[in-house]
Order: sequence, then C-alpha cells, then structure tokens
Amino acid sequence: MPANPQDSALLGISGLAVSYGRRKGIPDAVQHLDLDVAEGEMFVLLGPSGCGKTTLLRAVAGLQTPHAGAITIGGERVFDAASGTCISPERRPVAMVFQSYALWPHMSVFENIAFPLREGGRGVKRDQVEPRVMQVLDMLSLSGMRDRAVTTLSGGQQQRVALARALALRPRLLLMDEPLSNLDYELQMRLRGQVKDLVSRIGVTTLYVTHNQNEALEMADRLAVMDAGRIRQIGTPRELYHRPSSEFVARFIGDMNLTPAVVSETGASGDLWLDTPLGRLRTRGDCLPNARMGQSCLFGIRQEDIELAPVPGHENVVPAKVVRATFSGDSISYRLEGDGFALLARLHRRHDVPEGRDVSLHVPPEHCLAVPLDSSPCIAEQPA
Amino acid sequence: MTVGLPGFVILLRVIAVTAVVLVITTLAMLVIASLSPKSDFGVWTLANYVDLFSLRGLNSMLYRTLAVGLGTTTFLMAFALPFTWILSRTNFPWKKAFLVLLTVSLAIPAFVTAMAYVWLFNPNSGIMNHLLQAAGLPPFFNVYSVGWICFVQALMLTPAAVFMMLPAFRNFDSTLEEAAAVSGISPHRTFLKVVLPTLAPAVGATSVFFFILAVEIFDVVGVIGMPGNIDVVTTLVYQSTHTVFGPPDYGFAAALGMPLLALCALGVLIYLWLLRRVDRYAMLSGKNRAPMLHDLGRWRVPALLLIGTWVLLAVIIPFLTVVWTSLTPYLQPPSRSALSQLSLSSYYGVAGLVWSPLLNTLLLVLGTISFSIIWSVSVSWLATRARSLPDKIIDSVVFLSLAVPGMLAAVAIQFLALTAYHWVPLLGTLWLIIITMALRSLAFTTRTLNGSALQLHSSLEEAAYVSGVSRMRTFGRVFLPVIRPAILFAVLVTTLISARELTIPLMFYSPDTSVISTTIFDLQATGRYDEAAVFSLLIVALLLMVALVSHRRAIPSD
Repeated sequence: MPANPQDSALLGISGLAVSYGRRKGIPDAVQHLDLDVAEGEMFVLLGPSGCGKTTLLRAVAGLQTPHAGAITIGGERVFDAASGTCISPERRPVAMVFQSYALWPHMSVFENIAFPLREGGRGVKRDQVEPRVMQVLDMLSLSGMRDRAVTTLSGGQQQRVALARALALRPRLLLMDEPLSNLDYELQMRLRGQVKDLVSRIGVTTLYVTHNQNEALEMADRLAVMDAGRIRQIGTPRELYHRPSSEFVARFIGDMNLTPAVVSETGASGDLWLDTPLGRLRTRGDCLPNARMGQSCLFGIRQEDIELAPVPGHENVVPAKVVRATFSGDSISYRLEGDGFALLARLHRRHDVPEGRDVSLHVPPEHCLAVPLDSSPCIAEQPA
Repeated sequence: MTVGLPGFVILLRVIAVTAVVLVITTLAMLVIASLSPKSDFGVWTLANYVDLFSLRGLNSMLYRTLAVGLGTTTFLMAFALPFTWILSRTNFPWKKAFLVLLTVSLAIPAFVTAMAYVWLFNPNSGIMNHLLQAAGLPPFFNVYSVGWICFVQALMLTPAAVFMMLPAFRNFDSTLEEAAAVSGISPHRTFLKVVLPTLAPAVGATSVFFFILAVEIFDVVGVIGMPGNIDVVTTLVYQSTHTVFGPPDYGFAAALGMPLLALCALGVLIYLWLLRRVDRYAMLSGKNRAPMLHDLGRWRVPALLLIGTWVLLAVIIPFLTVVWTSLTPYLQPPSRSALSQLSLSSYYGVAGLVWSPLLNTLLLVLGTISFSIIWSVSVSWLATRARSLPDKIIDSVVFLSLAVPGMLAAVAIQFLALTAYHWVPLLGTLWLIIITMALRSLAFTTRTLNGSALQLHSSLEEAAYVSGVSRMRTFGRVFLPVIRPAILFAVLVTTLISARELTIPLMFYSPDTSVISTTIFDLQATGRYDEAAVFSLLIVALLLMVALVSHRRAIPSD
C-alpha cells in the first residue's frame, strides 16, 4: 500500500474512515483506508457483501460523508476531514453507474442522458448537448431507442443507458457499483468484455465495485480485495491469484484447498517444505516471505491444479480415495479423502474415475502455496 | 465535518418548521384556553375545570361519546370487512362496478345523509312517520338516538374504511393459505388460524383510526344529536362556542375537549403500535403472485344482499330523499297532493344565496390544497431524503397532530386569533379555516407522499447529484415528477375532504366565511329544508366530479 499519494494518481484516498453509526458502537464501514488509482486505470474493489466496498465508492462520489481522511480526484481535494473540506457530489468530476441503474422513469432514453448535460453544473454548452447524447447512444448501439421510455427497455438495455448517461458527462473518474449484478448470467458474461473494451478505449479512469471474483479478475487492471472495511491485498489479477498474501484472499479468490501446516525446511531456491496432513510437501515460498522453521501456516492447492499421478512414491504424490465424483460437463469434481485429510479437486472430464477407487494425487510444487495465517480467525464467505 | 447546507434544504426546513410550530401552538393554545376565563388571554383560572366537573350528566355524556365511537366502529366493520374481503379475495363478478359505487358515494357528505335521515325518520314531521299515520298507525321511527347516529356514521365511513384496508388485503400472500392447505388444514381453520391473525393488525389499525374519526366528527351528531338533545363532547363544545346569549366561552370549550383529546391521543398511540405490526408482517412475505381468489359459490346471494342493503341505505335513499325534499315546500310523503305541489321554487330561492358560499368553498379548497401540499412535500422530502434527527422529529410531530380533533384545533386557533387580533387581524377571515384544515390534512398527505417517496430508491436522485445537477433542480425535475401520482392522489382526496368539511368552517363561522356546508347546516337548523336540499344537490354534484376524476386517476382498480 503506498503511504504517500503518488503524483500520477488520479484518485488518491488516504486514512479514510466512514461509519454509519459512530455512537451506537457499530464498527466503521470503512476503516482507515489508503488507496491510489492511476490515470486511465480500471480498478476493481472486490469483497463479500458488507465489506464496505460500496460505502467506499459512495464516499468517493460524495454521497456519504466520511469522518476521517482525505480524498483527491484529479489533483483536487474533494474531501479532507482535517480542513473540513467536503465538496458536494454535484461538483465532483465523477459520474456513476448504479446497481439499480437509477434511470429516471419519467424521462425518455434521450432525456435521461441529456438532463445532466443541460441542467447540471458541468459546463456543457447548449449546442453540445445533442451531439454528445448522439455520440454515446451510437457508442452503445442505442441510437434506435433514443425516444423510447426507459421503463419499456430490457435489463441489458437499461444497463447500457445508465452507462451512456455516465459516459456522456466525460467524467475524470467513472464509478460503477455492481453494474452487471442485476442481469442474467449469459448477458453478464457478454457485457463484461464489452464494458471493459469500451472503458479502456475511452481511457476513463474507473473504480468498479463487485462481489463476483470472476468479474473482478476479468475486468481489472488492478484490484483490491476488501474485508470488514479494510483492504486485504492490492495487485493485478495474476498477483492476487498466484500470490495471495493472506488466508482471506486465498479463500476468496479461486477454489482453494487449505489445510494447516508447519514449515519444516526452507530451501535455498526459495522453495519451502511443509509438514501437512498429506505428508511433507514442497511448495513455493513467495507468499510467505521470511519463513522460519516451525512456523505455523496454511498449505494451499487450487482444485484445478491437482493432478492424477501415474506412479506413487514420487515427490508431492499422495495416496487418496475417490469418495464422491460429480460430473458437470466440461469437468468432474472429486471429493478425495486420505489418511487425515480431505481435498476437493476438479479434473478434465477425460480423467473419469469411479467413486471408491484408490488413486495417487500429484500436487505440483509450482502450484503449491504456503499462506500466512490470518491474525484474527476469519470465516471467508464464498460469493453467491 | 462542516458540510454547508444547500440553501434549498434550509428553505424546506423553514416551511416544514412553520407547520410544526403551528401544530404545537395549537396544542399549547388549547391548554392555555382551558385555563383562561371565557376568552381572556393572560388571566389564569381553574374555573373551567370546576365547571366541567360540576357539569350535570358529565359521566353519561362521556360514556355516550365512547358509545358513539364504539358503535360506529362496530357497524362500520360489519359493512367494511365483508366488502373488503369480497373486493380483494373472491371471484365476485361485479367488483369494478362496486368500486365505482363506493367512490361515487364519497360525493354525499355525511351531514347531508344525516339530514336525509332526519327528514325521513324524525318523530314529528318525518316522512316515514307521516306515511304510518296516513295508514292509521302510531309514529314508530325516532331518528334521535345514539343507535341511529352510529348507524348513519358507519354508512358514511364505509367507503373510506374499505379503501384503507384494501391494499393490505390485496397484498396478502396467498402462499400462506396454500401452505396451510397442503399441510392438510381445512379452509375453515386456515381462515381462522392463518388469514385472520395475519390481517388482524391492518384491520385493528383501521378500526382504531375510524374510532378516532367517529368521536371527533360533528356532521352527524350536529344534525341528529343536537336537535334530539343527545349530548356528546363535540356537541357541547359547539354549543359553548355558539351561545345564544353572551360571548362564546372558549375556555370551557377547551376544558370540555380535554377528555376527547386524551381519548384521541390514546387512539393514535394504539394506531401507531398496530401500524408497526402491519409493516413487520408485510416484510415477512416474499414475492407475491396474484392472490388466489375464493369461489363465492353459495355466498354470492348473501354478498349481493349485503352490498345492496348498503347501497340502498347509504346512496339511494339519502339521494332520493334530498331530491324529493328539494321539490316540495314542506316534508311530506309522496302522494297525489304532494305531486301537485312539486315545484322548482326553492331552486329559484337559492339562486340569490349561492354565489358567496360557492366562491368561499372554492377558495377554501384551493387554499387548503396549496398549504397542505407545500407543507407535506417539504416534510416528506426531509423525512425520506435528508433524514437527519430534526427532520424525523418534524415528521413525527406532523403525524401525531392526528390526535388533535379538528373541532378542538378550531377552538384553539380561534382563541389564538382572538388574542392576537390587534397584531394579526385574521379573525373572521377564510385564512383561519384554510390553515386549520391544511394542518388537519397533513397527517394524511405526508403519509401518502412518504409512502411513495420511500418506494423510490434514493439512487434516482443520487444519480442526478453525481451527474452534476444541483439539489434544487433535482428536487424539481426528479423528485416531484416521480412522486407526482401520489401528489395527485393527495390533492384529490384533500379536495374531496375540504369541500365537504363542516366541522371546522362551522367553528369559525362568520357571515363573510360561509361555505356551502355551513349554509346547508344553517338552513337545516332554521327549518328551511327545501333550500337545504337544493344546496345539498349542488355540493353533491360538485363532489361527484372530483370523485369520478379521482376514481379514474388515482384509486387503483386492481
């Protein structure tokens, strides 16, 4: 986490704390949080519901007043608790796409987009309004619907109008609050790519909130995993996937098997040897810097990284029994049990093993992680 | 954190606070009046309470007031409950027509119906008793009784009670019934053990609401109770402020009103408690499908009979009686000689009297709506959007003003106007009536607007803020248009209520402020029945237009 806001950051957040009921003893929804988003970046906030990600977004928009910290957008202090600065939402250079879309039901598609341009305080010249609206309508293939009532549009069309309305303002910072979560799965999958392409083509800096890890990984240039008002880890999708720095992040991203382990040996190459219920296993050591002998940690292997071994007795090969096999088309999910452990594995359908069969598992060292224990016990909530 | 309040929020607060100040002042003036001799402000005395407790028949008067409330509510529910059930949960074939009839019946003010019943059933000159005498029978009917008061009030309040309960009955989740059915519970037991308990809070809240209304409205007790010497709190308050000799005694009137105020306050608290249960039950049910409709089967005939009885008694009989009376020079049953006397002479007689009351009624309606809507829009925006503690207090005070009966509010404001006459000469003007009526309507209008505003997610306005649109513009271009149907509904209902309001204009009565309702009351009290009937037809015609518009625009048919 950068301690000082970088000069190149379009959005700078430092020491931010937001609460919904300070005196009632409710913990702060956002707790002393620092974050920088670079110009042109697509930054995703990911976390379970109630982790504070939407609160953070609303604080950036100015819809929620924090009680500590500072927010800078494009070099301008829009909020500073120390000096009492709090610029109202209408005067921040942002635009926002709401989860509910918040389209004004009494206005047409055209009017929904034109209304902020005409009546807002963002300095759009009168003769610029219509061309701007037509441009975004065209960009989102909505030209044919400019005079339709928004209440007659499908969910996907409404979503596009909401995005068009935000983009027409040409904001420095685009805020998106779970914009795809009200759509059906198929449409979500298609729109992820379209929204990402569009936003990066325009080059607008975007802060995007979601609870869906696949959506986050697919869309983000960088993302932050949030939990209980704090950021647990910031990085690129690959960094977070391959090098989770905590149990929470390891559990939250991807389908990870985690079992308690103890460091038994530190190798020169940076690899570690862990004592686990599966036996002694070689793992990568980059998630657990400064590992000490005898240190407690977690051993982690993703479901899709487990392989069936041709020969027993090799390094990182463990005997187990198939307890349950669930066929789901492209892959087969197995529940595997061995002496004192149970694992879930997902294998390609060509590895079709019947229930009850004894197998040898290979957990490749390059995919095995040693994950630090969370200081506080945390029950990770899997997203729906 | 210092976030500068936008000027427009301050403006709304100022508007809302004037309403709150007026509500609290009304209450304070009522207490002060009860401690003042006659109409003198600034002199303190307990004489009014001494007089009150030495009043002969005080206890029986209070019991009678309670009896009017309970009796009205009982009769009312006997009609309204089956009607609501039929309209919401059965396959009754003429639901739409019945709903139209219920709406249309709102056009007949309660005091007009009460008058019609006096004309029909009074022991001396009542048309029905004339008929009996003509047949050689002794006069049998006597309208001057607590029972008739309750019955006529119940007839007139039925449509409003049905409209109040209808949403709860329509939203009833029929999967609750289906779950009982597939668990092997008989329909009869399901009704008793599942349906009734679930709807009980809504029915209870409606009953309490109409109990309060039944003890405070003056329409029926004024027309039937006063000539029959049936004293209740409101008739005594009226009489002590409308004395034949000497100045009006506002002090004694206020003291008299205290038991009524206490009763209404208790009622409002129970009402609030029940409303919270209604909300809790509403949250329990998940997604509603179209409710399962019960087959009326053999019950279709009793249902039709009940509806027919009500329509006959509440709409047809009063209306025909008024038409007949308007055409005859004195009360008499239809006969050959009566037919030969039919004339339009009372219509011509009225023509000269009509303009001033008609104009005043229109001004009264317009004024009441303007104040009511400006106040309630401000209160609702603050209560549902700004939502800080002061805003919530404003909202609560406005709602609790429901507990101050209109007649007592009128006494308090009249006393205030009298006291402040040298500084603010509003005594004897329409303004006092308008302000009192607007204050009385606020509990209803703010509830209506709050309900609508709460249903709309605040992200509609936030979307405008983050797009750079100012608070004021967002208020005008997003908030108001989006809650427009609720505003329209509030306007129509307020029009209907204020155009036929009798109690408050009567309390402020002065020759310059006569409206149609008070004119009718005067003509009736002085025995000019035919002219009272003509005026009644006029107000019914005016209200019918409003009722039909509101049926088309606002009251949902399904």
